[in-house]
Amino acid sequence: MNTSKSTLLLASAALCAWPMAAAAQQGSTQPSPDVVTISEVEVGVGGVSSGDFYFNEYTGIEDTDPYFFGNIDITQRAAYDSDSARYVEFLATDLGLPTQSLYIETGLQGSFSVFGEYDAIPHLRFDDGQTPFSGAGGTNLSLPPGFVREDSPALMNPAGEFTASLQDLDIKTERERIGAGFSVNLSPEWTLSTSFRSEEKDGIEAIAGLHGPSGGDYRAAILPRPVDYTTQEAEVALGYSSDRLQANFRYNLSLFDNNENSLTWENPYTTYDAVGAFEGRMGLEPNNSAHNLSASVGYMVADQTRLTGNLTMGRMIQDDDFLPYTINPNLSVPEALPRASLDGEVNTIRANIGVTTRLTQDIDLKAAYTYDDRDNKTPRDTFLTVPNDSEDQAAINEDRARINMPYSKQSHKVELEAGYRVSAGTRLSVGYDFEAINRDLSEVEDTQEHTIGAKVRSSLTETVSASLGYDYATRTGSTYVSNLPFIASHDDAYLTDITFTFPDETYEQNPYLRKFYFADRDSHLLKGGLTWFPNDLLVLGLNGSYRLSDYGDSVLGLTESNYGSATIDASYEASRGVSLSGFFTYETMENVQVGWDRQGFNIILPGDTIDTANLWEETVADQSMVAGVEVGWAAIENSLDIVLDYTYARTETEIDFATNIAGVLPLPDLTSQLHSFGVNADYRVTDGVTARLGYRYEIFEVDDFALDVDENLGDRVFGLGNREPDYDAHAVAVSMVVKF
Amino acid sequence: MTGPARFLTAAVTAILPLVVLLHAGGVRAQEGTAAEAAQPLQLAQGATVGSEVCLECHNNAPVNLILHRPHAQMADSRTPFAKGGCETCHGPGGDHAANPSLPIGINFGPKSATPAAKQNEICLTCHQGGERINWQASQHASADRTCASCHDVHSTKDRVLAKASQPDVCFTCHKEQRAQSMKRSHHPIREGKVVCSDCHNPHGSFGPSQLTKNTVNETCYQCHAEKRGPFLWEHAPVVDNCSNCHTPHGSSQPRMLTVRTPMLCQQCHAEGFHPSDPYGGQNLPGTGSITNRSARLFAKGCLNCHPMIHGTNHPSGPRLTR
Repeated sequence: MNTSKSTLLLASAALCAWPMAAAAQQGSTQPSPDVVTISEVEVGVGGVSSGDFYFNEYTGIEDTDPYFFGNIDITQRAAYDSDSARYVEFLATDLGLPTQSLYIETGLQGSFSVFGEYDAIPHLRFDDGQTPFSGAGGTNLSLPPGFVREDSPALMNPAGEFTASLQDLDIKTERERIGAGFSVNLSPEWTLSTSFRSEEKDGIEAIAGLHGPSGGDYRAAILPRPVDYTTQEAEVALGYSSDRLQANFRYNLSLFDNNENSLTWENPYTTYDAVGAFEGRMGLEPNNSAHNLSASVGYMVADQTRLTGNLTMGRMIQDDDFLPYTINPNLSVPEALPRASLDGEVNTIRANIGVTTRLTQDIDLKAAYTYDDRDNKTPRDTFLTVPNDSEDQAAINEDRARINMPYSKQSHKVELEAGYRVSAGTRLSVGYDFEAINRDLSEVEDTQEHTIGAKVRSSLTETVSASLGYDYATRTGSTYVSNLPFIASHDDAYLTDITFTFPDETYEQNPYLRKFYFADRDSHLLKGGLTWFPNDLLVLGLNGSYRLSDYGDSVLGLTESNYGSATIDASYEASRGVSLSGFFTYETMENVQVGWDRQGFNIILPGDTIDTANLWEETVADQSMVAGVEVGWAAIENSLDIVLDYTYARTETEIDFATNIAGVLPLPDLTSQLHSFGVNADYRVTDGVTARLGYRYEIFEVDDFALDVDENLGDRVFGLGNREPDYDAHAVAVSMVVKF
Repeated sequence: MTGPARFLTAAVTAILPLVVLLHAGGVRAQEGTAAEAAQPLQLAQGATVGSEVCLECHNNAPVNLILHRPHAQMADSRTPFAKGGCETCHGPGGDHAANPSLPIGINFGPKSATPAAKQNEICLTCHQGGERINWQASQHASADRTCASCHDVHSTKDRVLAKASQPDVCFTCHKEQRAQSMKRSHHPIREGKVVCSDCHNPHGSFGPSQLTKNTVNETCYQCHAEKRGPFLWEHAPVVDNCSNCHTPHGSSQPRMLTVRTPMLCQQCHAEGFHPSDPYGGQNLPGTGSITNRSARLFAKGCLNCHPMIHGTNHPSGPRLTR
């Protein structure tokens, strides 16, 4: 891990803290009340029983070697009644670990502040991967000498040749962020602040590399792809705050750089040798930038009436040079690209105006209007594509000649809410929202959604409070034009071709499908909660919600979605330094979707009858149970504190079919199960010195058919061989904590 | 623009205003003395007695820990202690000091008898600006949440401001999210590397669900800028809303998907050939299937062939395969 940035920040922290430390030191010979220091320094050693990537997914620890770690938390602040308001805050956590972070802030409270920060976020995905490709982490992947290319994965390993070619591969990434900022009070009302953050994300992810001209004629391999991103963000903000008027003006700049723009790999299959498809190349994410300028204002028109407004104007830009249509020099590519780069530009405007008021002591009102516009100005051109480096370039009158689809969207939303305080402890509110969305290049041009709701919240007694709310929403849209995207994305030369039966061939998509995110929908949401304080020591809670989305007019696609959740929890402060808390949450989510098995060029037109023989309905039902208990025990008063915790989380996904199609079987259940048990103990050795023990034991088990494959060879794709992420692991840490 | 040039642009954007400001002598120290403190706010009836009187009885933790916190800095003329000590927030304590059985005028927290709106009004006297400019329209305000429901200004460490403890504070009310954060696929919330306020502004924003940015997608782009584009070949539901496919607080499915592939993809794709197939147990790898269908259930599902699901800039990538 690169520690240079964190070291730099540590050094900066020391420099910032020095003046006050010096003052404190001075105080040792000449007592000064001017500086108060609250510090905690922890130094320890720890270890894990397993370097399993999933156990250590976000800790980044990859082996079982012992590690040393440190935490530092120092706050120095001028005494509250001194003539100075200088302060320094320094926080360092997980020093020495892959997750280490640092934060330093200093300043003169009320005048200025300056901060610096460093953070590292590792993400270990899996460590049991294997690949035949050499060059993992780079942009050129090659097959090892002696690798036997074949027509399909099934033919690659008759005598273990494929297995012998495999090299171990870790899939992991790490983010490293460094940031700094400054804030200055220009006057009692005006504040100027600025900040800068740079993040580097490096590592290897898995990605598919594909050859073949179509979904029925293809070969694929899962490849290691490099991740080498740099994202920089800068912000300047000017704030104003007075008794009645507040305002923020802000400019935000975000620059994303991908230091690798493509990935090239040798084709492990012979299937497309006849067209010379010995290599493939895919584009990785292009560099982009975003600018946002915003102004927010809040004004107290009267004591109980507030107006607010926000206007944000943004621009997203992307203009990286295009890669060529193909890396394959053996294919016929007579036509050049229509342009050298995208010249992509999206302009955004979001405006919001709102008012909140209390008409009387018992009645309050809220109203807001929001306008949101994503205007994609990216030019549109016809691209004569080369499918997956495996087929000659499409002619302009062919299906594979495609026009890009820069999507734009515009919405208007009105939100109204009225609240009435029925009694001192009971508030009833009703609300109405309306949202109209216009999407271009989409099957549905306009949608409108109306939402009405009511909620009551009440302190039923001095010890019991409850809430109950219900929302109903109905969304309708303009005529669903299934073939609009197809027509919009194909050249007139293709659409008007004499061999083409317009409009029949444009119904690539089944016209009975309704895409769920703009399909007609009725939704119901019921939500409630109950909190009971039987006495000062015990709190009991019961919460639940149920949401039903009914896509009643959708013949195909998502037809119903529902979600339910119930939680019971309790906390109890027993006497003699014992506290108990626990919770249990049950969640269920069900999606019902319908498909029609449509093989071949069997065109379905609107109004055609679709036979039930090929209809299938699939229900995907998720259930989860999460329970946790925690016990805090002051085992020896003022000396030994122990906290025990246990969490159990189980998820289960059932996928079933209802269909007349012969041979369709349900899929095996997908399950995951976590047991996590922890102990934390603090023993005060002396006043200011504490010995600390932390221990965690976890068992994690997964059943996942996507990963339950003996070899990493599928029918037409080979993967990286990673398996279900099961583990059984311990972590322990002992440390000394010094407070001064 | 090259990498170094872009870095320079960003750095200059951040630093230039400060340089100009410092040159203009704009950094005006407002360090003051206690004697310069403003007059206390009159928030309730009764005589004021001063903090020293309060501390005669309340000089114990955690109450007196506020003396080490920003609110107590008398040299900062904006603070409650500079204005009138404890009574700036709690109201005049004369009656309470004379008869301790009488409650102080204003108390804070969810169990306080002081109405939520009144509690918040005290805090907003100084804190209405910045990220709290739209507090009154926020869901938290509608739910009668008080500032003290989450913040503890007396503690040396305000738990909701510390990365390690913030989720526990939020999970006190947001119980579904607590359970979801324990699922197989999750942001590193319970590991302390991502906190709720990275995405949400609990004080009320102008975006949906109190998000820090104006839209779901803009919020996600803060950490996933590579998905921002614009791309040559966009994927319509991605541009529309990241949450069409992802559930950000945790999921039973990989990559925080609402439903795994191919089922998720088939909610919008019913074209002829493979998109309309029913992918069931008969298509599992290793079951002797002689078709190519197992590729859609194995490893990355549909993404075994369509990896650039968030969009691509490759000229031959309209099907998101390049």
